Amino acid sequence: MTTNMKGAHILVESLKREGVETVFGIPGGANLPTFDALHRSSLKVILTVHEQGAAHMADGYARATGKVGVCLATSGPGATNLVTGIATAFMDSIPVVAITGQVRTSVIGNDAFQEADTIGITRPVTKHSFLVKDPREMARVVKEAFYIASTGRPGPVLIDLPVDATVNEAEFVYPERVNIRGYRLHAEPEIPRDAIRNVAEAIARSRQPVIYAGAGVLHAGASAELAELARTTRIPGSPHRHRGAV
Amino acid sequence: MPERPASQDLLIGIGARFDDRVTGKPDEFAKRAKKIHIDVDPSSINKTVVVDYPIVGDVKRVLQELNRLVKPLDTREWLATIEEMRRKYPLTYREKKKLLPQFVIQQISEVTKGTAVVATGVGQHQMWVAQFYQFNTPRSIITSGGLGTMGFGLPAAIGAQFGRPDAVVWDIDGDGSFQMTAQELATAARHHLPIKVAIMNNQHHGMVRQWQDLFYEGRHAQSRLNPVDFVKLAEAYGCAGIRVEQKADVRRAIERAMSVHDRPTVLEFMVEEAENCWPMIAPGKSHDQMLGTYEALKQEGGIPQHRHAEPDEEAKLSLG
Repeated sequence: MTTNMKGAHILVESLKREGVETVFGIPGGANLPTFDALHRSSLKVILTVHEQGAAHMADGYARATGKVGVCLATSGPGATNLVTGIATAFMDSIPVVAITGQVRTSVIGNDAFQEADTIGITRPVTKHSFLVKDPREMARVVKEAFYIASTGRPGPVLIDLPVDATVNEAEFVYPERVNIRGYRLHAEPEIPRDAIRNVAEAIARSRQPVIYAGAGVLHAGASAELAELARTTRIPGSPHRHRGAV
Repeated sequence: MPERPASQDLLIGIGARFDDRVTGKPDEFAKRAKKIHIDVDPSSINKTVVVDYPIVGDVKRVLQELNRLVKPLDTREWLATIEEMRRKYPLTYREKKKLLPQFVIQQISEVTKGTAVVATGVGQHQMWVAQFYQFNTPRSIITSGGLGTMGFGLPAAIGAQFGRPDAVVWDIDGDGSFQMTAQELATAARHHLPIKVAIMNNQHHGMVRQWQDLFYEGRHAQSRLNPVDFVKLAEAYGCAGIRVEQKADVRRAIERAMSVHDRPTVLEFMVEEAENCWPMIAPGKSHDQMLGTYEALKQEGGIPQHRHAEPDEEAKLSLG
């Protein structure tokens, strides 16, 4: 026997499986089912004044904690108001999942009320985006969105949810692992040992070396390794700008 | 001509993307140095600066492997040279009659002992935070470095405070940046977040005004802002509001803000309008064409009275 759940409840259960505790956003026509499901859950939902604020809050949350930040907006203007915040996160490689409402699938492309091509508008400023037309896809999409946002070079991922994908029902099965065609992490294959040996030799030959470290060190959780490199070799780093980042 | 950091012979770029605000003119960037670039994103390698040793991989694993191979270098002479340059050409500013934002940020840094989470807007105040707030812990500067989004500071600080309820969270902002998302004070007040918002109020888009003075013969096209009573605005949203005009009152105001725990505090600092952010590299120029260096400021007259605090030995070694 299986119990079916509405897409919006599958979304919320999936967010919980990803360890989400706090989300930022504003309800509107196209995402009312989602906010209703959030309201009935244990998640902390922070109402912002403007969707740009929601996106920056998710971003600030992610930068301060290292976890994925989550923001929500309705279709059309709600989604377009998120764009500056999504682009900000994209440029600084911050893991954010943005969840937008969309008009129901039967009227997409009809210039329906509060309709915008959110996937199209955000494509250049997201690492990846999903349009969920069927609640059976919901759990897999959330799993993949969090995985893509937080692995490799992190970045924002958008999930666009037409109303019917949130009100129709499906069985809730949360996937154990992700298998995304074409998304291969360079962290997984062998590290280039020969090239690293060459780097070590170049360091040994240098007289005036300088380390220029970026936030990628932080994203990789490599602060201790960087400190060890500097300590062992006694190489100075580009100071100040990144002291708080690394 | 003094020696510049460009005289390094090896540049080790790690998890960084050589953006144009770092490199200046890419052809001239660290010209003499061999360059290493370690990054997880293959598209970042050789994008703006062509490197000699590209390594695509997870930074943590690459550094672990590298750490097994490297040996101590004799960098005493090099470190002494850097120390000497740091002494001769300190990051500094000249005293003026009116309150200066650099001084305010130094005071915030001292009162919070460099352990606050600091979000910023975009512009002069953002640069001054990077220069004069002595960050001591990771994940503590929250700033829109890439897109340069004005209005980022307040909502980012709110998000940071929700994520780290026990942290002291500041938004150090400009009056221009702050007003782009100021309405989120309502969100912070509703949840009784104890964030501190320090507005460096110079009634300008200060960085735009600085560029107009430097590159547009002082024509201030639309860079002057209308005066706003930010104390009233703060109170309208249910936040505490404090205005500071005198240097002597800065410390006490910051300490007062630190003692407010049940709502946001907005501190409005009435700062010098004409203050410029130095040093800077003009667009399309290289590091050795830096403007507003220590020597230049000295030639303008007056010995700078404030120096950047020296990072302690431990911080230097850990790169902190």
